[in-house]
Amino acid sequence: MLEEIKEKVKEKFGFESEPYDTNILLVHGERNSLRELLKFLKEQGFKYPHTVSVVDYTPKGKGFQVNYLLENLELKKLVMVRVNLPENDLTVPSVHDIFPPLQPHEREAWEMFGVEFIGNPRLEVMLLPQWAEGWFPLRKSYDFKKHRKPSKEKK
Amino acid sequence: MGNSIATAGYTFVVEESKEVSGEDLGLLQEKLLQLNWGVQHPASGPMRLKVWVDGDEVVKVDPDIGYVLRLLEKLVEYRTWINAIVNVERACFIDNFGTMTGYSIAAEKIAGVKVPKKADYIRTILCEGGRIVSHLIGLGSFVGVLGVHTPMQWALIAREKFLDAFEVYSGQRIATASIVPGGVRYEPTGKFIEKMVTAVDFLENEFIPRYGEVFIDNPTLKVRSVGVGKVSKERAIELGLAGPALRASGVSSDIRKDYPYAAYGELDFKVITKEEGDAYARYLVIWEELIESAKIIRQAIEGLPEGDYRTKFPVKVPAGEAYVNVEWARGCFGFHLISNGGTGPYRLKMRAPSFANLWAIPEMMKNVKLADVPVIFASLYMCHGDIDR
Amino acid sequence: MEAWLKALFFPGFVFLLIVFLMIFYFERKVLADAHLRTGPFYVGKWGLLQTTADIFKLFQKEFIIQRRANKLLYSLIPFVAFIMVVMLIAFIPFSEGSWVVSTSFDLLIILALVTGMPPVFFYAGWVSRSKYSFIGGLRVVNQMISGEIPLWLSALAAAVFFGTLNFMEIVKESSILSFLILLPAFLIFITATLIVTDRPPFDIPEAEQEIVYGFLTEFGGFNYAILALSKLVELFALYSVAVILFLGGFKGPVLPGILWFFIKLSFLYIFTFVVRASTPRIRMDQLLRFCWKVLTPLALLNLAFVILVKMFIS
Repeated sequence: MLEEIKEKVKEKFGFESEPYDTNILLVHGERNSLRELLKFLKEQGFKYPHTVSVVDYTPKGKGFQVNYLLENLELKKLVMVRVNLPENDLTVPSVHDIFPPLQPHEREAWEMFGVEFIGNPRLEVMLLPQWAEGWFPLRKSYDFKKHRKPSKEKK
Repeated sequence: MGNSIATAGYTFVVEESKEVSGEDLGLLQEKLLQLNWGVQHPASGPMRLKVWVDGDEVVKVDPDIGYVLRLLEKLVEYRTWINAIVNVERACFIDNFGTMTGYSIAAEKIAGVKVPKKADYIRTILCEGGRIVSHLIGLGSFVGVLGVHTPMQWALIAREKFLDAFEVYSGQRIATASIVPGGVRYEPTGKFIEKMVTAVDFLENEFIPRYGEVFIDNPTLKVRSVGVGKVSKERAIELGLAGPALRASGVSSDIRKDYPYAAYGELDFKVITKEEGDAYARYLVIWEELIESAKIIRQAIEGLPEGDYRTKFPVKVPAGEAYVNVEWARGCFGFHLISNGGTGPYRLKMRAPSFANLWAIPEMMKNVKLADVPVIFASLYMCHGDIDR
Repeated sequence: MEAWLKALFFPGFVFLLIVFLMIFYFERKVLADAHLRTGPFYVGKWGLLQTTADIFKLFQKEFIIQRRANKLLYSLIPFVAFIMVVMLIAFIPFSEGSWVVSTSFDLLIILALVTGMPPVFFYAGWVSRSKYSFIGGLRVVNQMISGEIPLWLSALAAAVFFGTLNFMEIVKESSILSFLILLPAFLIFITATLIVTDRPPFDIPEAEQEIVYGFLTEFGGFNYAILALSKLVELFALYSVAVILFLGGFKGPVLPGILWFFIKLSFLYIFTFVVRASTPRIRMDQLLRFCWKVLTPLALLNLAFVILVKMFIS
């Protein structure tokens, strides 16, 4: 089943894929056609979105990586779609209308990493306090010492 | 939303920062009132639901979370491979074994370590013990939001027996830190097995008959929960529900069965699904999974093999990554673990089932009665530590 | 005994205070038993003084008035509620001769005073100026008005059967036959009592998980103590009325009358506590449907039945 998807994706979008785990297929996507790819995967039965996982590879000079994990609940297979972002242009099209459950996951990724999901209606702080907006604490460049909790006057 | 409900000389704060006054009391039936259902509320836990009500009808719900944020994903990056379990288990330590197992499996996949069979069985026993403990609290708190505190008390008595077993095993009752990459941390002694059997005996012989008699076919409970918060099969997938909530809508999704890990592939159990998809079905799924878990523990204890309980886990793990899903008590918990060849994780993304369930609430709570808000909230079976991480 | 001594000591204030502490203790013990716990244990013998200690703790608390609340009404309402319900007790004969006042309209006065309670509780919620209190107050009015009609109708059935409103005469005329004929009225009366005094499973105005504590949310310390107590007194008074109307009051062999009265009362209380330990709360719209579509028609039918019986007996 995953072989089929691999060939179809290669044929339709030209993206390379490789097996990631026994049940997971890793698709190396690009952000320009990300929405079409996810729409295509949804039509193929990958209807249940798990999460959006962002990895910060800036110390290695590789920018950021955004992973979308989708599951096919009938055939019990997973697909991971990977998009690489350069450090100086952290934008990726939002897929909240294709997969509504991913909207809060995108929101979390935005507040923790600063990856902007263009088209997401609610890029507001969710887990962090209001005054910590824009700190992006899960980035590797985040400095604990610099961001001590401000005292009450500074708030 | 910025409407006011006010009376002569009488003011309500309708929006958080805006205080408006008006003329007559009759407006209450026409305009919206924002209730802060949470943070300091008997049933909410450390989170807030902003509930806009029109009379007794809920118009809109917006969750406000982050009150127990510990940023575990960041803390893990500063730990070694073994130490990181301490942070991972604190995602929600009502059932801490599931998260530790998932993390350990991910770390083992990257390092290429094969776990002895005995460790797999112990993990299964502990995971199911954790699931029972969590489900007991889930049952108790579901009936608890309807104003009856008896089930919670009964559940806590049964839970104590399991905590005793965990204490004998690891020295801790709740945050046990007992499953590590490379196996489990302690030798399962005869006393631990004995305690576990006692606990399962108590559950099966005392708790399940007593509870099942009073609180399963309870007519008033049915009046309150049948048909409340109904989600069809397609809708459940669309909303991205997880765990018991997803299975109650008829989707047979159980990681233990679909992608077997630990010793689940060798044990015989069935996945509980219900077709109705309402609050009562979710409650029944939790209840039947509890019974099923007790059977799994018995099987795993019977089939417990001899041998090592732990292998050596390398200090430095080669670069690589793994994505592992485990069936945690509250649903499918995903771990995206990345190593860069160092002594600790480079990045760990935790996909929490409660987080997925929480963001289905605004859709599920449209046009329900105010009294149904706690019922739907409790039936989704969420843990606040898990939402915020 | 002088009337004022009666009002102060024996069936009056001091006696009632002790009775309420004991009922409260009893409730906690019965609930603890259902929960498989021990309940109060350390203060006094078998924890008998635990409730007294709790009440004294409430009394010595700080007197907090919420900033936005109407100060006068906020401090006044608990006392108004308490006085209104304590007046109910004056008419109840606990045994031959243990009553404070006896008139020809005992039942009428008690029911009229109970009907006067919803506005008081509504004001308690209203003056607190809190959203939860206000919703609680509205729910009280909604619920009590729907509960009072079956309450009145079933009490009226008893009054029609005995042909009097005086409690002493009702007790004198009661018998096994009257108990059997009035059994349906008794069941309706007990259900309506649970609704009117918002006990579980009808504790909708105080639904903790929905609206915190209803109209009691903003009250604390002494104010809370007497408001909560006035709800307990209301339940006690209505149960006493049920004992008098349907169960024969203080009548009974061998034991003194007052003991019989409290034995009968404790059965009703145990019923309440067991219901509380096992029945989830129902929803407001379900309650209204139950009151208006089931309980009120049943009470009317029952009244017709009692009138028919009365026709044949006399």
